[in-house]
Amino acid sequence: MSSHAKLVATGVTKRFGGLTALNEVSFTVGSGEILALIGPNGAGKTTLFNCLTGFLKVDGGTVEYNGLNITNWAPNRICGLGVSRTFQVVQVLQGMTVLENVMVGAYLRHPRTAPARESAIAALERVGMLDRADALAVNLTLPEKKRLEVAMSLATEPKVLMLDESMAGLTPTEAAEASQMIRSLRDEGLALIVVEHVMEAIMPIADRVIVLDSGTKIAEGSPAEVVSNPRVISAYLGDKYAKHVIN
Amino acid sequence: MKDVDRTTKILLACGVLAATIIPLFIKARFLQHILVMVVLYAVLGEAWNIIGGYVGLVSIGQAAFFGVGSYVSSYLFVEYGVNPWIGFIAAGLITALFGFLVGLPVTRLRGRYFAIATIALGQVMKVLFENWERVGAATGLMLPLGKEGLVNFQFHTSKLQYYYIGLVMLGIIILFMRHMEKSRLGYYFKAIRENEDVASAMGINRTAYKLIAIAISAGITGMCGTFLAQYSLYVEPEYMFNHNISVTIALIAVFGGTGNILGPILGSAILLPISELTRAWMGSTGTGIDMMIYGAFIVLICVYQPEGLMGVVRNIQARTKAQVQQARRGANV
Amino acid sequence: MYLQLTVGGLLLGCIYGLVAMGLSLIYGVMGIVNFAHGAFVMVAMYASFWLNRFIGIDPILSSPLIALLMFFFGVIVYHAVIGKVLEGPFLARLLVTFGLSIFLINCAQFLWSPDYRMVENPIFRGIRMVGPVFIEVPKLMASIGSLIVAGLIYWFVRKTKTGLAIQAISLDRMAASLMGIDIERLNGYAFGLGCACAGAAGAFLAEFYYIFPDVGTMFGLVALVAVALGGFGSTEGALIGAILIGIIETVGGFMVGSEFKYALVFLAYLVIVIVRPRGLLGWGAD
Repeated sequence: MSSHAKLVATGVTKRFGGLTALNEVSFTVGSGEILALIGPNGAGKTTLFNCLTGFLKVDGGTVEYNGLNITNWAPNRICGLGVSRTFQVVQVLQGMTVLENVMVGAYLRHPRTAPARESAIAALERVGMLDRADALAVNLTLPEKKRLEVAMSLATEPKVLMLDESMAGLTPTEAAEASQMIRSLRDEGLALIVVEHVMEAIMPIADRVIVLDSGTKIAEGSPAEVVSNPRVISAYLGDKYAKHVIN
Repeated sequence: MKDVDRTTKILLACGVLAATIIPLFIKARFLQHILVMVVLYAVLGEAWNIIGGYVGLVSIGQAAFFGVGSYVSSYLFVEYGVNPWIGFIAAGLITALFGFLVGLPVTRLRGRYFAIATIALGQVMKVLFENWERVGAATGLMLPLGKEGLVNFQFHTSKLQYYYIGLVMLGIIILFMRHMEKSRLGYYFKAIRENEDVASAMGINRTAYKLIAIAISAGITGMCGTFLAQYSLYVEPEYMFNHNISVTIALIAVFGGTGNILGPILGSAILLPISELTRAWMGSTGTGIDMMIYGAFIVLICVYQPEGLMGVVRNIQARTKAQVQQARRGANV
Repeated sequence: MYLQLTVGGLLLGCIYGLVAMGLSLIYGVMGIVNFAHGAFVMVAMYASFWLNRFIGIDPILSSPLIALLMFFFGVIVYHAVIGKVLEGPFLARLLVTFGLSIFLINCAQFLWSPDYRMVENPIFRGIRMVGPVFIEVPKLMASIGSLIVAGLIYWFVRKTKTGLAIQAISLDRMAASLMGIDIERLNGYAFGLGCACAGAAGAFLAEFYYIFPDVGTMFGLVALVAVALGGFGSTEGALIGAILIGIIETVGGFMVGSEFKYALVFLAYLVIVIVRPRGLLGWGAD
């Protein structure tokens, strides 16, 4: 574990015309922690990611990284600091090979090609895609593309990693592998923010959970606390699922 | 796969050898002229390729850079007697700076908005130079005849020397692009072409890299401008800022195939002789029939060969590869 | 003086507007930036010139016929060329109309020489005093005619069944084809309509403008800038952009010298597009 990293969002607000997509959302995440971000469709999870990483300009509030105010910085500068993200709708460099995709990420910390390639290969190995290194990204299956995205993000050697539904579409075995990987990243000292629909996979490994509904944070706490919170149950989870987790 | 690589290498070596030796035996001035145009446009096509093929910003206004470069060296020479080689370097630097400055606002645009902006740029530059008295307005500048030779970048008895200077330029740009393809610069360029959002998420400063690309492309194009100015020994707006130069450059890239090194060379080697020959055979009467054929040719390429020649080469390669694999599989059984 | 210039610019802008509308229609429906649009205007100008020379019909009167001829010309061009590159790569779609334009311009030069020609004895000529401003009668008639044709096209696209089907294609190709719309045929109609706009504008211009092979190039580029100004895909935007350009051209040209008037038009494009990267009323992807 190298230096301690801490991302703090305070009162982040985003409006699209008359619609308030995010209403004063605040939270903190630090090294060695998995923060799960859940909420029904349209709750503002992806919008929050976009605001934190500079892809959208916030209308209010601040984002700080290790005490540095990075509100509304350009995405590439935020990435350069060590805050990396994946996209909900998978985004890869279609016309390039898997290895080349990851190398684009690796070049951020390794300007020369040989070290960048090594680092990219390590990242591919980590997500178990080394055997696909020479495939064109456009020819990958959707789960493969999701894994590639994670490898690309890892290659930028982030301190804070935000994963936007990286487990969607995975088989139960693959999802288990993925959560294993997320756990090991945490143990290496990364701070993780994970948006996920596959509750079974994410709830057991999350250290803390925040719940968004219609752009507002309605709950925060341990997984057990959150699922027993009546507001959360009514807003999102439903009785059946709440029982399932508690049992 | 290895066999294919080896054949390609041998073919390339033969190509380089042929490009160096065969022209020595060509004495007809017109054929020499075609050779010069082929190398010139191959370099221009590669310069276009950096911004259009790798970064994916389609420029149809390269004549703006070409013209500026030609005027920089010519003006320095005519007005201050500056050696054309220094002018050549100056043209490269000043045009690169010009490209950078123009790029500051223009690289914010994408797709066709960028393409039309480059057309607009080409037109604006032409009009400005047509009315700029200092550089001769519409009549342009005549370069005084000097002593023939490499030092003065002037040759009167043969055009072959120009060809070899062009060939060296082409060689240098190929080496540069080979290096670029394998370095961070090339990877970042391609990443921006493929997906701008991913590029920024990977920490790439898109604006900066687009500006680098446009400055390099403009600088090389400007040096080509100097080359043509020395070749024809005069510059005028209608000639140096001609819109057809921009279209031809883009067309070469389409015809040859974009985003790889060989494409523009192939495109230029086939397209330029056709266009020069039709002009020579039918253009002397001024009827426009040469340009008519040229226009029809552009349409035919776009309709029947839109992936470029490199697309054809790749298809053939893929097919042979598949056949080889099939044959191997057959042998194993 | 400036009132005089503004009125002149407004009249010119209406004619540009008709050309731009055709360009916008073609772009909106099939995503093709038609660089040959100016050449179509030129073809129409020559057609009205020869009709006038041999049959003696005045260009403004022959404009419906010219528009009809250009419609069929456009349908043929679509099926011979444009339809074949629609699925092709970006660059091919961009350059194909360049080729077409070079071809048509030089065809005209081959057939009719580069000489400047002018329609003799047009019906409308002279200058009238209207209130405080002088108005050139042929220009006035041409811009009124342009507005009428633009209105007709607008009505056709918004109110008729075929027009609505064309609109459906521009909104969602896939859905349109699933609903049984014959995209190829309607694309052809749309391209034809775009050409008809250029055709009518060409006929109007022939009433008072010199005719030579390269005459259309500037009209085409100006219309292109108008469409980009208004935002690709917006018909109303094209008309507004065109009128704006007409005024910039005449007023600005007067202020900085007429040799710079087109440079000014292009500069206006650069400035506006840089402030609003998708034009004034633009929508959709790049």
